[in-house]
Amino acid sequence: MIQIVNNLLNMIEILKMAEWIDRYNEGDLSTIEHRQFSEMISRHPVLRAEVKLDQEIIRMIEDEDVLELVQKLEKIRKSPEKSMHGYSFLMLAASILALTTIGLFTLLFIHTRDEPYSMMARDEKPVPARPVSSGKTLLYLDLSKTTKRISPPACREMAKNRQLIARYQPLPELELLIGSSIRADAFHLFSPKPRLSLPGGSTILFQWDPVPEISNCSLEIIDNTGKVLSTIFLPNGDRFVLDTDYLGKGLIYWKLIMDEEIISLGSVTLM
Amino acid sequence: MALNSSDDTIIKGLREKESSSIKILYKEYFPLIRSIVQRNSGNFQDAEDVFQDGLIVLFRRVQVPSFTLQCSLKTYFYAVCKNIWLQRLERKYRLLYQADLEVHEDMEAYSADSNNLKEKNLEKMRLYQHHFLSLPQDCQSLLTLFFRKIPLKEISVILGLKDEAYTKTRKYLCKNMLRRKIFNDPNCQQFIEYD
Repeated sequence: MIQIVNNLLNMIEILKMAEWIDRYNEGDLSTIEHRQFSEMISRHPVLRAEVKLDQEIIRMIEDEDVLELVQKLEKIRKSPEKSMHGYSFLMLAASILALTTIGLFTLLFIHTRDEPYSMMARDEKPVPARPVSSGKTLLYLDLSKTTKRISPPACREMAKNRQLIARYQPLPELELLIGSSIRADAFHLFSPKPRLSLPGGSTILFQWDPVPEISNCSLEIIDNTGKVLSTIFLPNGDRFVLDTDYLGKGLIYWKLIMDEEIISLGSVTLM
Repeated sequence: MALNSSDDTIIKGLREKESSSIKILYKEYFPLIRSIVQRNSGNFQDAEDVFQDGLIVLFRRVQVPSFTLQCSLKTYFYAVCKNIWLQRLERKYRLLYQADLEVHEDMEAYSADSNNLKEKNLEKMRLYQHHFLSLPQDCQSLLTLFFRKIPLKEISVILGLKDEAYTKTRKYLCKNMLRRKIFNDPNCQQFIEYD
């Protein structure tokens, strides 16, 4: 601690002295000041060394020609020509890297031309092509074949679109049953219409003629792959409102089942 | 011995501190200096230092109007640098220099007779120059102008400083910064003499 304080005091003393040294070496002291300071110099070796250093610094700064020469030499040393070997090596490494990158991109380009969806996200499973009914003719949409070159973001976008399209593809086995009704004499459904298009999140009103003897009535919601999404046991009465919020967008089928018998089937396209 | 035209051109250029001449000297002679230094306990940095000191010695020599070369410039410069390195080795490591250096021509062509060209002084000045050149540009300019004896008032106008008083303070701070840099450099300690 004492040592630190001493050093600090010494430093302050040196800083104070610096101004005196400056004035001494620049001939800025009065005669009395000069005499006093000269005495101090003769007594203190550290101060003497400082004064000498200062004189040498002045001499060095005054030698502008040499400083200019050194500056120019420094510039030449730092010029790129100096380390041409190093630069050549860097250039070679950069060239190899560039060629490798070009090669990789070329390979990727060839690969994407053959398989446009190969860059789909891992969790995006390609949806198999399914026959689409268009009136009485069944059409097959095969989206896996195309010769068009697709960039990776476009490829991802297309995959997303393809998934969306797949959600609207009809399920033939259910399509054939839409509109048909069993036990029409005993059960009459007013609403909804067998094929319906609604904005996503809409509500669907199921309304029928009240039939007292029919019991155990349920509504089955199925997606377009045939998967049952939910089964709702309908309350007694003549109506039920289905909220489609949870179903998202796509084509869904509904089955009205009574006593384990499908009495009505329809589809709703949620846009 | 007459100078060949190439040496003459280099010397003339060096007198004027022309970058082209310094560049030729560096490109042509530095590999030789590097070789001698590295073969004798030195490294690349040592070689660069020796080259710089040798260049300063040569620069001072060519300023003398009576300067004449008794050998080729390359031999002369080689001798200068070799001498510097010899003294440096002796001083730093107290090792005897192995006499396996290939002297191309007359070794007597150079002798460090002037006190100003003494190896120790050269090294000291190089360190000071290094620290000076590491100062902020405005400090370098201010100190250069000040020691050119240009009045403070004029310096403040040239450097766009507020007034004379501020210029004086700034000069003090710059010089002190340089002083501290030198004082704190361990390589400079050997040159600070507490006699």
